[in-house]
Amino acid sequence: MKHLLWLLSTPALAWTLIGPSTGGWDTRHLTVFVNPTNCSVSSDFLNARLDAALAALNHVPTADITLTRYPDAVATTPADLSSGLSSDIPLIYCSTNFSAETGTEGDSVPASTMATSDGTMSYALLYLNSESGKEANIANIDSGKFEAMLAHELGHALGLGHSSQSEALMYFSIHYKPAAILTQDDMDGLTYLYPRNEFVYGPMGCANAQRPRGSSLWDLFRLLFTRSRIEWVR
Amino acid sequence: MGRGNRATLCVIVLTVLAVRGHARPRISFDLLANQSLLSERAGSPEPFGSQVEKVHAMLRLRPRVSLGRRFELQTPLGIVLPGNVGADGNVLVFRSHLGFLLSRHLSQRWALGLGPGIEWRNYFSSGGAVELRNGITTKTFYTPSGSQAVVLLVVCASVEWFWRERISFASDLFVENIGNPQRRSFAFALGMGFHI
Ligand SMILES: [Zn+2]
Repeated sequence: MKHLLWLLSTPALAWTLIGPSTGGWDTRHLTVFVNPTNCSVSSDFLNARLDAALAALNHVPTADITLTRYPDAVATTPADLSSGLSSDIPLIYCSTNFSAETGTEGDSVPASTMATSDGTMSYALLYLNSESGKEANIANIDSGKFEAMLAHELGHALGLGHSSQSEALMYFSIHYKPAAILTQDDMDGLTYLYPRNEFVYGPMGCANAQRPRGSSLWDLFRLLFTRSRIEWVR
Repeated sequence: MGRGNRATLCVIVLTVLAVRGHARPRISFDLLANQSLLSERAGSPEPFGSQVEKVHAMLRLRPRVSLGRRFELQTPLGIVLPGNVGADGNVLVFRSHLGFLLSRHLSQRWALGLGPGIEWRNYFSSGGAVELRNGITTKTFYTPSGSQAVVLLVVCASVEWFWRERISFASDLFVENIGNPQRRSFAFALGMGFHI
């Protein structure tokens, strides 16, 4: 059957995952936290751009993950996350030492995400470039591109890798992106990680049930195992 | 089985039992052009609008059971072809749907139908590694191995115009996530039905 379906298909999609067995976050509602302390843009500007990026990711008809912004600014730092002082949450953090901290060229890369690369997602840290004198400092990016960039990095935080399709949000460059718009390719990737099943979670099932992910012992093992597999994606 | 599932099953069984006495079952074979995610396409600035799901062919079998002179129960089972395969040939997305429509014949030529449906999207992937740009360097990314299924409850509406005894023109609207404005989307199909 599978081979028959392959024969009836056309090449179109190109999405990837950041790891060979990335499985998404073990939840259907994910809250994103923002530490605006070092940001080179105002907190209001950052929040408005982030809300637009979250809205773009939240409207995929076939996916079942809802992202929200925690309403208050937090003081959580990358060090808190890395040392386990704070629970594992997607955190947005502005870095005034972006090039050194992320190991990237601050003149060309506006943001970089460190995330769990394999198994269940449990760690995500978005660094925004607030390094003074750098061309790719977020203060130099217009609103639409900023939203596209945040949605792209959040795509990584959700487990997506890059797409080879130049129109996709998850294409490596946001140079030609006017806004946070997802293509079918991006939507298929998100749907694969967070498939919507209205028989289980919809009006005919248990609306608030957690997404099932095996036994708790296996989850614990996987969490311990995957914590060491954290990688940078730009 | 949840209360909702039991209720739906009861409605289907009772409907089938109720029509057994004077059923005149027929089957239509439909060939349609299907366009999904219309709202996405309409709301997307160029060049992104053109990248949202393209028009695909839909093949559909539509068993019909008449319920008296004017009404008809239809259970269309459709598959959308072709599916989509990833650029590296590793990911396949395949779509199908099943509807439960109550159709009313307005005249000799026109019929209107409305009812719930189920849409499946099946993702098959054989896994693989792809080297892609990542900032100013490259990085290995992965396509997953395994399959994943999406199940959506949809609302279907149909208009049918009978041209000949065995041929009609059909137009269908499918609404996904009707109760969720953020994720609501529409698919539209237009084509011909051949009645066996
Ligand atoms: Zn990226």
